[in-house]
Amino acid sequence: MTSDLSQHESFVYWLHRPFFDLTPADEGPLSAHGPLVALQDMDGSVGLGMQHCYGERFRVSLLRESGLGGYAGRHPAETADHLRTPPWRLLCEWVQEFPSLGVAHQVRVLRLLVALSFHRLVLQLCPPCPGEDEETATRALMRAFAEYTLKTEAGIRERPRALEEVARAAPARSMVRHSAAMILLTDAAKVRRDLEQATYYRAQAAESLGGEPLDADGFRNALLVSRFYRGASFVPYLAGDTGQVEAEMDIAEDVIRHARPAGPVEAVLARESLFFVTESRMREAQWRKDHRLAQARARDLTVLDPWNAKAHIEYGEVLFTTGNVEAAAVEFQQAARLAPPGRCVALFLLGQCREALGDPQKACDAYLRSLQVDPLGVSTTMGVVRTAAAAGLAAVRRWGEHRLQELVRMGVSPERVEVGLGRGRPRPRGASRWAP
Amino acid sequence: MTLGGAPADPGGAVLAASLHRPFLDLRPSLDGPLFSQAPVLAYAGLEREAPGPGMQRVLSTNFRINLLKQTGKHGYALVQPDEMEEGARTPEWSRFCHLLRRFGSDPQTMATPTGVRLAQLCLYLGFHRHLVRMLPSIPATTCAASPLMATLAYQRAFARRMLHQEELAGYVPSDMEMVALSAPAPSRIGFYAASAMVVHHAKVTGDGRAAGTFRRAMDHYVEFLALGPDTPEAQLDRSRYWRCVSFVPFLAGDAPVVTQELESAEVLARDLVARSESGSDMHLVALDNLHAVLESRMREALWVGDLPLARARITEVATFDPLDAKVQIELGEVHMRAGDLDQAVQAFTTAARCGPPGTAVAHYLAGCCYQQMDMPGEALDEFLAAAALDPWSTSTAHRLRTVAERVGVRPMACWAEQWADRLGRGSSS
Repeated sequence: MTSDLSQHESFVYWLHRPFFDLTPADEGPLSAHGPLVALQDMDGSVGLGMQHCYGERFRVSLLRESGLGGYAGRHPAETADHLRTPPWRLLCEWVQEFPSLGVAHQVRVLRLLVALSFHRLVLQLCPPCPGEDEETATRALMRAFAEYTLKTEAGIRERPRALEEVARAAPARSMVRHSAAMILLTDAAKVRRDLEQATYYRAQAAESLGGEPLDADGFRNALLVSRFYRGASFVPYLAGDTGQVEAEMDIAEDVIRHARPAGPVEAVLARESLFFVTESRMREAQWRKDHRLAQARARDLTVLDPWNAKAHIEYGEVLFTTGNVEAAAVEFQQAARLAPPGRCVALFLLGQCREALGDPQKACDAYLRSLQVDPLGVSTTMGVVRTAAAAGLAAVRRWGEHRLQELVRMGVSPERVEVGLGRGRPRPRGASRWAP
Repeated sequence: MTLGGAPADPGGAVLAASLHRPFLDLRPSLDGPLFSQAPVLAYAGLEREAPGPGMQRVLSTNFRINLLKQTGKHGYALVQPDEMEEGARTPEWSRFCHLLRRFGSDPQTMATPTGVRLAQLCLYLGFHRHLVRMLPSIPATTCAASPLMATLAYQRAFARRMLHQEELAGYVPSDMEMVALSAPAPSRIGFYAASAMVVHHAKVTGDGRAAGTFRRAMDHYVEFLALGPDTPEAQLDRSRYWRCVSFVPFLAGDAPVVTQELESAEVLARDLVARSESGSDMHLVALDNLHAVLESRMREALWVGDLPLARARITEVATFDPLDAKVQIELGEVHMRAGDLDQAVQAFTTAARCGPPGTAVAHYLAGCCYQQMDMPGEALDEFLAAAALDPWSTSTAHRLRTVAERVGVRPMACWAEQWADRLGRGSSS
């Protein structure tokens, strides 16, 4: 059965339009500028990309939650002919002619495909090949990054050897080596918690920018320096050096706040960087158990990017932690409206809030809506059983119990049982901190 | 109502799919509305090759469309049974398809008891278009000569009427009229066709004289019933008779007679429920009949302006058929009229939770209640849910714009405004 919606009837399309057809949205989350910035950079006039980079699941969620069946899921050419806009037609041509394009052009096409979450296609177009000059190394980086994103989404946490190879082989003091090192630094810190590796890649990333102290003059340098210190602060974080984390995050924030963007693209890049710095600073405040500061910074996220579902989830979580459950519920509701990403998580957390507020019936409805997005949610199904029992919804409780048995039979991961506010939770997947 | 020992439900990831499972694969559901038992009973009759009691309620063609849409069952049959993917077919569904292939290709083979039962199952499952295509138009002379042919003609006419359910204004029931006038008399099929004509004239044309004519055709059958044994089936038909014929005094504005006739329908319906063995097929059919009678009595109470009585009647239905979304919507509407918005929201959200029919309406009405209760955030989410299911509703688009503005979701307000404009242009063009 195909969808009978037109794009104008879908709010998801309205908000995330560039991901569907590379035309600008009237208003939307900052992340929706990603494909447009990459498109604008097809002539090399931007020279910088956005950090937001969603995995393939985001694209799947976009198509499913929009109810629009005519748009591309895995390959731009899947978009129905009547839905193709002029820039989308160009993209299709570039993909078709990819082998005959020059390397610089190929790199830009790959960057655009990554921005649109066509990671698997990047792997198909670009066979693994080492890159020793800046352009071929960047092409290899795009491939390695797409592979890394796909594996991360699939929960495969193996050593990112392809990225390591790019970082090793790329020319010294090049942007490509810097980008690879920044991804590896983040991976070493967040995934492996390997201080030695993180320190190594921090040094490599700094060296690629000319070595510390870094030159923050001009918008481009300011952006790179801010991005660098936000990532680099993982090193003192792993070492438990609170003072140094704060000092480096101060630099990251100060530099981007004082940067002077020229034109709308740079303004978006600056705002995005400030968003990510603020997000990191919120976590830094949480780490230091300064909940008031964390709450203020989380609120700032919703001001910087008001139509970003993830920002409202972050703010809601902080509010919940500080006991503002009612306000947290409002944020999770807002997140569910603006999603993807994170509709299923937002609804699950909304259910948790409503349970905490003593409204099992509304909690049950939130859990049921969450299950419509992710039918395999064990914790969510348990929430249905719990709240249906409390609300006297006997048939819903029986369905939930029956469904739980099925999930167990299907071998759905029992770890999901322990998910919940204050106990770790499923996160909206895909928003990578470092995109090359 | 609960059925124990239901087999594992591979499509049970969505509550609405589980509650209405018989419509998807002919397997019984763990829990569900009474009407979801109709296909189960009809299939059982087909298997045992013997007549059994059947339910009155036949869901609209859109019910099937909405069920598949809302539950995401893309591999399941939408327009005709054999569309169902092989992997999703239960043995029951495979057998149903096999029998349809065997009997459905020829009107002569359909004019057998098995063919008639197959057609009835198609009606219950919502395959109305398929049934109209499969059965030829049957002339009056054939109808008059063969009770089985008359039954097929009635089923075809019924299916055609269901296809016009959303817009009855342009529908002319010439085929149903033909069955009512030419089926062997007295016969149950002639009685059903005449009752369909009474309802049509009461609800669509408002022609009291025509309704009265068909009422007299029904009278003959009931007089005939009085000569036979007092079987549960005969009692069921008498209850149906009183419920249907009360439309005639209703059209004449004669409230006491309407009440008196519906009272007769209710007494018979309650007695049949009390007399039938709990859990038996007849008990389910008796409850289905009581459900229909009490719904009519609720409307009667609303008509005479007795809101508490209307509320009591529909509340009783919701007690024995709590998972029927339509009942919950009716209950919510009565609560809303009484100004009890909390209870109304409760009923509308229950309806939305149960799934079709009426899910978009349930969300919309819950949103209206929340708006009146000054809870714009909740209203917004209900209107959004309604919009996702029914993107052609101008009222939803307008209300969505208003509450999105109020909540401060500016892009959503802009989107809803543009959407409302497009709908407005569409309806004016």
